[in-house]
Amino acid sequence: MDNRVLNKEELQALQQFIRSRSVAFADPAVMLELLDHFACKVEALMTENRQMSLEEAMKQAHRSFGVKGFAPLSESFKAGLQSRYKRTYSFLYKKKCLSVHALGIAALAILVGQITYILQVNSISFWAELVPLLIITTYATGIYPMRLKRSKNKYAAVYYEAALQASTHQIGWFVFLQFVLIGGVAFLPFLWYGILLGVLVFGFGINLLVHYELMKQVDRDAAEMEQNWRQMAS
Amino acid sequence: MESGKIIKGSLTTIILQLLRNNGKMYGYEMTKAVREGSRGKTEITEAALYPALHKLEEEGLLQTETEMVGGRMRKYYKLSRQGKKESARYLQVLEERMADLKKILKYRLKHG
Repeated sequence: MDNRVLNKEELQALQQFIRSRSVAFADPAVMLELLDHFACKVEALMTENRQMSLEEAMKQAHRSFGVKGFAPLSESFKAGLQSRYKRTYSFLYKKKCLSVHALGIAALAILVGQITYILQVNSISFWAELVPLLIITTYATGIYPMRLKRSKNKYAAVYYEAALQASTHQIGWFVFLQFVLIGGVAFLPFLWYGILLGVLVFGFGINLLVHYELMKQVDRDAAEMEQNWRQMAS
Repeated sequence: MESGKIIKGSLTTIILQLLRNNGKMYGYEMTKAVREGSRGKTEITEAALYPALHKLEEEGLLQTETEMVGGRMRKYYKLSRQGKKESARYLQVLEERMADLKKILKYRLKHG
């Protein structure tokens, strides 16, 4: 017995069915993840029972996914993407710390640290202004462009979302460090302030480079995803 | 129900072993292989399979490649170099646990 193979119109009906279950599945990247498995199930049901209509096969195939339907697959796919970009972020951070760029950033960090030490700057207002400035710069150069691409890219928004989640968690460290520095104004010696500021500038500089590299990686993944989607649609 | 729990507990080893024996496979093919391999007695759900596949991919044990098949994009999973090494270890651990289980099931208390 020949296997029933779905044609282009039937595959479009399947896409419509998946979309109708939740807007979360409408994203092309998620759709590509779900469609083949769903289509295989529908084809198997229609091969088994040649009289079965496409609508009935879709309903039965969807029921076999369990009470949560497509949600576990979709969630697991997104969680996998996020973990992947978190790993990429950590990998890039280590790579950049050992690169030639790190030497230049370290030199700048030492210079800033030394100036702070020489000028004996440790007032609360200085720290309270500096760290938010670093956070705003991180947002403007790394996070905002990613958010913009997430909202504009209609093929791979989940990729940018996952990368965004992976790259924003370290902003918490900046805030934490800010409290440590402000809290330490009363008792930390100037030398320590110089060292801490140097570390902060170094970490911040590396972070900017990592954001840039991560964005390039996500752009490549998004382009590949878009190409796959267009190939399927043509 | 009980066999489903046992299979779910060994799902990682099953996936690695299926890929070791068959080269590359796609998700639906794996669910079919488990069903046919157990003569219809065992099913793995998509809700269990895909998180396990994504986790193995994240750990670097699996690699993926996509192909256009029947007008849709199909994602194939295959073992990475690390996955090939680990699959043998996972199988060995499962076989040891199965041997332990057999011993436990035959165990009788020695009185006196």
